[in-house]
Amino acid sequence: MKPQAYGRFGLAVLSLAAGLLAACGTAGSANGKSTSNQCVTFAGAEDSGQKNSLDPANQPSSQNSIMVAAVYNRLMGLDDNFKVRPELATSWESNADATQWTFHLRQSVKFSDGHPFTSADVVYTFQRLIDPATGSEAAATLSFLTKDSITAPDPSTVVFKTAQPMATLPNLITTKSTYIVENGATKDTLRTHGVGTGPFIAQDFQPVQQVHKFVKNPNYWEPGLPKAACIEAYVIQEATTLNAALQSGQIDVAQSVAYVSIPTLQQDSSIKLLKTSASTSMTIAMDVTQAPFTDSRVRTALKKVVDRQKMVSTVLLGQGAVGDDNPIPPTSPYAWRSQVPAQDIAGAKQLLAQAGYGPSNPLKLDLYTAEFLPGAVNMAQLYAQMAAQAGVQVNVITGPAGEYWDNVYEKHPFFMSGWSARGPLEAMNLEYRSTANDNESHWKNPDFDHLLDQASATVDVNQRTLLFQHAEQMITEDGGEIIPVFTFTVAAERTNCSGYQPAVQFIQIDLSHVSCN
Amino acid sequence: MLVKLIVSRMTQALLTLLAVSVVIFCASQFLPGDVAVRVLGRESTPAQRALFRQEMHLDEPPVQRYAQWLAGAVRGDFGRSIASQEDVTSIVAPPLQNTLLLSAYAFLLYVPLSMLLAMIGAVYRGRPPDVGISLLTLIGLAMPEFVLGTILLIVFAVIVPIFPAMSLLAHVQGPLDFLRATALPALTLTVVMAVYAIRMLRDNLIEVLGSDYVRMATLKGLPRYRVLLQHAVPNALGPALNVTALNLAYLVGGVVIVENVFAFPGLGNLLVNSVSLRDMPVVEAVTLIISAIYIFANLIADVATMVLNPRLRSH
Repeated sequence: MKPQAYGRFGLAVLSLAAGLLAACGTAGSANGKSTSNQCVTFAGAEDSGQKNSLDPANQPSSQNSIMVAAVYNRLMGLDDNFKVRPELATSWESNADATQWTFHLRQSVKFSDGHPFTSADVVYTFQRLIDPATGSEAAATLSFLTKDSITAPDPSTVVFKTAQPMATLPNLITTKSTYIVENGATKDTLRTHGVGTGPFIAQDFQPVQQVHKFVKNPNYWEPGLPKAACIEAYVIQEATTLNAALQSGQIDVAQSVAYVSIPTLQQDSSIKLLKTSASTSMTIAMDVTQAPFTDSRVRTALKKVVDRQKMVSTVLLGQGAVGDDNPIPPTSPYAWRSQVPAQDIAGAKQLLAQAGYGPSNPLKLDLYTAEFLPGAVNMAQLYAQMAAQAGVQVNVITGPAGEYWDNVYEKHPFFMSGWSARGPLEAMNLEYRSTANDNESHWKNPDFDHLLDQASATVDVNQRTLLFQHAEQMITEDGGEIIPVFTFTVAAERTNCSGYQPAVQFIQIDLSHVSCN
Repeated sequence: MLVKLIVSRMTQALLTLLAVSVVIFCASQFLPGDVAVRVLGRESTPAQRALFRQEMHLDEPPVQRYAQWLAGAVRGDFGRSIASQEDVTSIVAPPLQNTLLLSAYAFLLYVPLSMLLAMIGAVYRGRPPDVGISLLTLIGLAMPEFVLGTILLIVFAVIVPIFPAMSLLAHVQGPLDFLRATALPALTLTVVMAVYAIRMLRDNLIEVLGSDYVRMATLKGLPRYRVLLQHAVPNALGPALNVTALNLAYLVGGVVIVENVFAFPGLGNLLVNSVSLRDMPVVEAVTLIISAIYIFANLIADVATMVLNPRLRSH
């Protein structure tokens, strides 16, 4: 026999293989969802692994926040300017000095298991959050509450009493953890069998599942909502995979897309991109208790060297806004000024010279960073180049992102960080108050603390905003944080879908208005 | 002989597994990061963290914790996950099943593909089909699996959309649907494994095809496909089997990157999540499973080599 015999043999096998492949290819509709599946498919960005749960008290990543927002409601919601709006509470008021807040609850709301929602559920939820045995991360931010300070005079009224005046209490009790659970619900039942008053009901929930399914709550209190019959939540962390899944229609809505994917997705007419305004901050922290950052002139010089616009266009590929070295973005209605001064190398050099640094005695700094947020390493390197123009030698030290928060963060005097968007009082209390756990720059100023106390006790909104602005100005001019940029969150939605809008606070996820044709 | 070999190898395997568990446990002691912070979050208070460590017995000496874990593991109880308090077995079982199914699929594609291409290469030695296959395998060898996976993803899910980008196991109805849903990760794994095996098997076949007994068989007048399949291939398989054993181990343990590219809910994803949560009971269980598969795949390859090659049976 001639070699052709192998040729025929090979051809036969090849054609068999090709036939099988073709059979696989035609076995179902080529792509997207089969006709029986009318759910909106949502791709989340973070994976909590086996820590995923339906318990609002602990949320290690935004995957939990998706689940929790689908199943529960809070007393109030938050808009992108951190103003509260009614949810399970229809109205609220305080006494004259804002030490007692009364919330009136929505009538005839039911949990998805049929239990009527009452003030007892609200009292239980907050008492549970501040109980150390619950181990909730909300305990620290709700430390102004005690077990006895939350009371229910009747089934549709809840009263919060505080020792100090709390003019923004409605904001402070509206965090990612304060979703209302049923009276008596335990950690174990909430984890996989959480029941809420929210727009959706979890179906066969397990922590580690490729898809978490949520079906419409037929008795939801808000008329016409939710718009979707069901939601399927996935996690896709690889940018190329997310693009392919969106473009082929496997995924309807994506919580966030990578900046590098934006040009590709913009060219696809079946996808629209949805952007927030200034969202998460990217910061460089200076420990003001350690030399050379004890000198306010050095801190100011290190802020002046930054070309903020250039950082936005290179590090964030244009998907961000400039920052003003305080936690409130200049685009916010609470900002103390809306224009940030441009890079000022001459001014920086002058201040450094006054502080005793110059060409013969250059300022040398080690800047610690890791890719804990996309672009964090690039930002540190770009900062080093900008600082070099003023004669400052910045040595960038990059470590693995996985251990950054445990072993690098706050362990050195000069390091990078990032913060989710928050309301003005919450942000300044959390990061800048003298007594704050997370005061990463250790900047302490009694006048500033006093301003926060005053703002906290000021019921009039306009007057309070003025106090906020004064406090922000103190941070910008004297504080230990360089905040060059705020990122935008860019979400994606297929054009046959509508109703999704990403919030400036990354963990706020509202799926009740989403629907697809 | 065979039985004795298997028994002695099983004993070695168990000792190796024990050693692996010690190494993993020690390594976990040196992993930077605090379990309590990972589980409770950055905003947790020191008091909450202390309470958690006490509840999970993390404040006990490492040797004592290891001994307790081992005592449970011997009885088949791998303990509870630190992160979710759930039984480790119930956490590991579903992804293990997914990974095994994907591996079986990739393996079933791998065997005929590598045999066929190696045979074509050997028979057409030095001519265009051989050169073509050789070139393709070289490209495959040089390409990291995530690049290959990404290329397949863009070509077969976006440009020519015949396969789904994400392997949606939850919606799979029937075996044919499974084959389609997981086609891209399976294909990626197949190519990564096959490139080594094709090159090795082709070289062995060429050597065997030049030997005296093959010439003898040809002179007897046997058809060439029978010479190839019955006489040459079995003798050329030996070394390729060892490569296959290593490939099997790669399939189960090394698929982390491929699983990530296709958002596949398998053992690799679980391992990555568990390491970042510092969930050591789950890490231990997954590592032991991967080690066990690695060891037994090698054992099977050794036994198969002996069965195929009578000369090795005498000792």
